[in-house]
Amino acid sequence: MTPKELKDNEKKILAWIEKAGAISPSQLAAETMILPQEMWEMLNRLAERDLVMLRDDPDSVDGKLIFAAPMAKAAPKMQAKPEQDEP
Amino acid sequence: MKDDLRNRFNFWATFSLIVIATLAVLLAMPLDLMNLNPVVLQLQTRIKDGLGSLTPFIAVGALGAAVGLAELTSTFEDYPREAIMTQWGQYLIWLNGGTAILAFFIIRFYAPPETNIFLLILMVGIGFPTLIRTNFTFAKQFGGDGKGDMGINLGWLYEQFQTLCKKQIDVELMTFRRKQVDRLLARYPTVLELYQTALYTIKARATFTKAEEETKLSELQQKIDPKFPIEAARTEIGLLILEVGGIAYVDLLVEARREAPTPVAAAVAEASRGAAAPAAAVTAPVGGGLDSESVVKKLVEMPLDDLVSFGVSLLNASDDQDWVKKAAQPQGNITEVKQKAPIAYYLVSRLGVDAIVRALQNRNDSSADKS
Repeated sequence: MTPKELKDNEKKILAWIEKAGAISPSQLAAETMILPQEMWEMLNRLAERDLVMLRDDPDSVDGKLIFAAPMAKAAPKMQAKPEQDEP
Repeated sequence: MKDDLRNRFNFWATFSLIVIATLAVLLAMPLDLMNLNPVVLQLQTRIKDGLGSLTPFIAVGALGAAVGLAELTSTFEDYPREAIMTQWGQYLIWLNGGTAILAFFIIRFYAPPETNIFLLILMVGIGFPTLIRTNFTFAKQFGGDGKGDMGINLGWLYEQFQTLCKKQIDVELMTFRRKQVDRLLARYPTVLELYQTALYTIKARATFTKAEEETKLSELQQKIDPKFPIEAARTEIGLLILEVGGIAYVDLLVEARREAPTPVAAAVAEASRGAAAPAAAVTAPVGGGLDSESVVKKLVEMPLDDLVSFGVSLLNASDDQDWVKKAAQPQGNITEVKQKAPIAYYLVSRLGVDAIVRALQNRNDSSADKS
């Protein structure tokens, strides 16, 4: 799958991550109104494709932090603002 | 504090200024017009005479010291002021100044009395530092690498001393840098805060070219690599902030967290948040010493069902209530904390820290009343 084949929600969270610099997955879920289960699945998929970096962080409530990976710059993004999830 | 290089700098600068100012006042005062003890008048005359004969030595010493100073600042470009204030940095300056004075003393002793004193000062002040750094080559090998040349290296001794100084200054600066990073880490303990501060610092540097900015950003990216231990990542990011922003910037960041933010510190903190708006806006400390992260952690401590009913009772919009309920529904392979944390963040972002703190307080009070 190439970055061009990203889903809308994936583009949205990539845009959020790039704007935030670094953010915890739970905070990102709350900001983007994506449900926790879906968020973790999506993040794991994006991390596998090197589009985000997930690292352990004992200070984070959920124990993880997400950073934009260098490859994410090539991926198309949506405007980073809190929106309702698509039905 | 003896260990702080900047304090040492301020102390000596102030001390020198006081000595010079006192001497200037003493010499400028028309003491002969006042009805003073002749001893005082004699003292003034002697100081004037003494200074007159010392001036050439001071001038030569200053020229020699300036050369040492230039060597230090060009070698330690990132920390010139701190390099000058290190113990071995001062040895180097004093050695340059002192040997120039000694050379002037000897040359003046043997020079004919009619020699122009200004020319002599210039010749020794500039010529002597040049001489002790010179390698004279009498015979040069054709096309050789220089090893077979015949000559006298007058600079050998000075080179050895310079190498020693460089090593010692490096060690002293390393300790100094470590202390600054520790101060920063004490105030910005999480990787998230450090990363966002580093990101802002790199982007805010007006003199960075696009390529330099990219290089620094990729350095930062390497430091948060998941393979890197968390403690090492924190220290490395702290060091990067120090290198990119400088010591004054680290001071400003530390001060901004130490007390209630001053207008400048608040402005920097605000600008720093601007680079990473969504995350930092939520992690920013709020009044009363409570920050949103602490409130989120408090909420996560509640059982999931309690958290949901607590949240639903506070949220007015049905969309918000629905989202909280959906997020709490039993889900496949994620832990309860991973369900509770997004709900907690959601409540904080929708209701604000103060409202939640008040609601938690009321909840505690009512449960205390019941019991």
